[in-house]
Amino acid sequence: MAKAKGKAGAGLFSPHIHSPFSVERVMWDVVIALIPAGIASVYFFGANALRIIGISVATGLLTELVMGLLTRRGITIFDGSVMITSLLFAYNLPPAAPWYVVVFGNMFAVALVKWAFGGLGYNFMNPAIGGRLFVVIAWSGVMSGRWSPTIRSLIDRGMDFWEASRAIVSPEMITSASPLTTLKVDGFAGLYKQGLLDYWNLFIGNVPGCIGETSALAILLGVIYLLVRRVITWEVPVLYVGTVALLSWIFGGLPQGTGLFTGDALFHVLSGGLMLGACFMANDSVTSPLSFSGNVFYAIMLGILTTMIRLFGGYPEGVALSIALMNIFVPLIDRYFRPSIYGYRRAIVKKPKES
Amino acid sequence: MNAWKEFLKGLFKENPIFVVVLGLCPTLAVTTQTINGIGMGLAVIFVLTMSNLLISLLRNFIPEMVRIPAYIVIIASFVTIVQMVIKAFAPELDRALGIFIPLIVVNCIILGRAEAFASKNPPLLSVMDGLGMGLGFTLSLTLIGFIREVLGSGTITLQLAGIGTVIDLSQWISSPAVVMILPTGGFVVMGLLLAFFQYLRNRQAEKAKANKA
Repeated sequence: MAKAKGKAGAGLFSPHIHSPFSVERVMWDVVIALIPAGIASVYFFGANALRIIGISVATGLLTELVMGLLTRRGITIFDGSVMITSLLFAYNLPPAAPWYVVVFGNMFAVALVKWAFGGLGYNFMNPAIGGRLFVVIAWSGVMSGRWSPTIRSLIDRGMDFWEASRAIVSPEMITSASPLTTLKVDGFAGLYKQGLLDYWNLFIGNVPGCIGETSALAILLGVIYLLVRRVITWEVPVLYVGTVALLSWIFGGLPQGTGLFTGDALFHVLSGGLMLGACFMANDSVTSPLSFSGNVFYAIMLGILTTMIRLFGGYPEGVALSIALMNIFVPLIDRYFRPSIYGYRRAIVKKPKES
Repeated sequence: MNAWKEFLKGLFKENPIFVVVLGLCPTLAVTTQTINGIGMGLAVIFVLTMSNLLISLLRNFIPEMVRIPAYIVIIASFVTIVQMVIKAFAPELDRALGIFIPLIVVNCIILGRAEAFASKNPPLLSVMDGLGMGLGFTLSLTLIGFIREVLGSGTITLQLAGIGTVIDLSQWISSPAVVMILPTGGFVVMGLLLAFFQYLRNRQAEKAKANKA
């Protein structure tokens, strides 16, 4: 192994393959893939979603500009990475999030999680996840106890877009819990009672939650675009969601006392931030493993951690925490799951013949 | 003149927290309020100065082989005095600092100064060194505590044993970020201040280089 490694590292022989992928192309492709989720967030949460996304993007661009100039790296706002961070961070906030949560959370994400470690490519953790965890701990009351209903039901009752947007963040309306919180507190009986166990609504995103994470449909559209453009590979999203589905089917009934193999896998897959986390944050190219086998291990561990936190932990949701934890393990995973070098296997077969 | 230099070096050039990076355990743990930094700092100043003095006086009597146990005995006796005084006169500070008062015994700064300075220098210099290092420690802890308390709970507590006041900033900071008074915030503030002090020192070094050339 050591010998092969030395040989591969000895020099870069021609011919070289020219790849059409550049940092800018990949980043702007991800930004395009995030647009459907943004449209869905405005559709379900109205002007509040626009406000949060606007503040987040403005803060992100400004912070990126300042940090780029402070560290003398020039102006880096056009490579698109800060747009991804700002959009993802905004998608991770509840519709009633006050401005300071958006501003300081995204400043933390861009300035400390990304730039303090050297900028794009050197961040040890997905910046949006770092920012989300920061605001969850800093303003836990705002971040976990105040979910607004979607504006669709109000619009059906005859309100217009702006009225409904204002109504869902008024103190009287911020009482309904997200599906996962209800499951944690009241169990499945509570979900039935509040009408939250509607798979169609969960799929299209017509449930209380963070603005960009509720609509599995919009996220899937973005992911299909990224897969077609070959920006991401399938293994992390598919295996992460698959592991959560399998484990929540096996163990999901335990907290309710209904025994093994009674969990509601579809509910666990569609609710919370799992789709957004698995499709856009866990497989961020900087903070996910390099090799195929490494990614498989990484995705399965993510699924195990998320299910454990959701079912048995103190928090209703565990996607952000598990991604942050596994991001930290990525350098270790990369050491153990190295891809074999091209032609390495044939060299082993040849060896006995020569001797 | 020389003694004054020994005193000043602890404040910035060899600041125990931001330059030598010693004694981080109490630094991160107790700095949730401004006053905790002052209280902890006063305790450390007393212990550091007195133990430096005593170790410096005894430096020719303590055999090389048992010097560490001897230092520990000297430091521990002063820490015991401090702990009893705090328990008697400032019980709320005792509750806030908790285990970190007895842990001053094993504080790296105190043992470090005993080993690196007091055991090799005369009493006057050792006392000045202890005062300077202690003051540097106090100022650093107060600074960290001040930043964390303002951002994390929106107050400035300057109340010790019933004297002083608590300044309320809730007018300007209506919803403080609780994370700053949790351990996470401690590490974040500590890291940013370390980076800032490193930046200042780098700039100073560059200036000195430019002056020489």
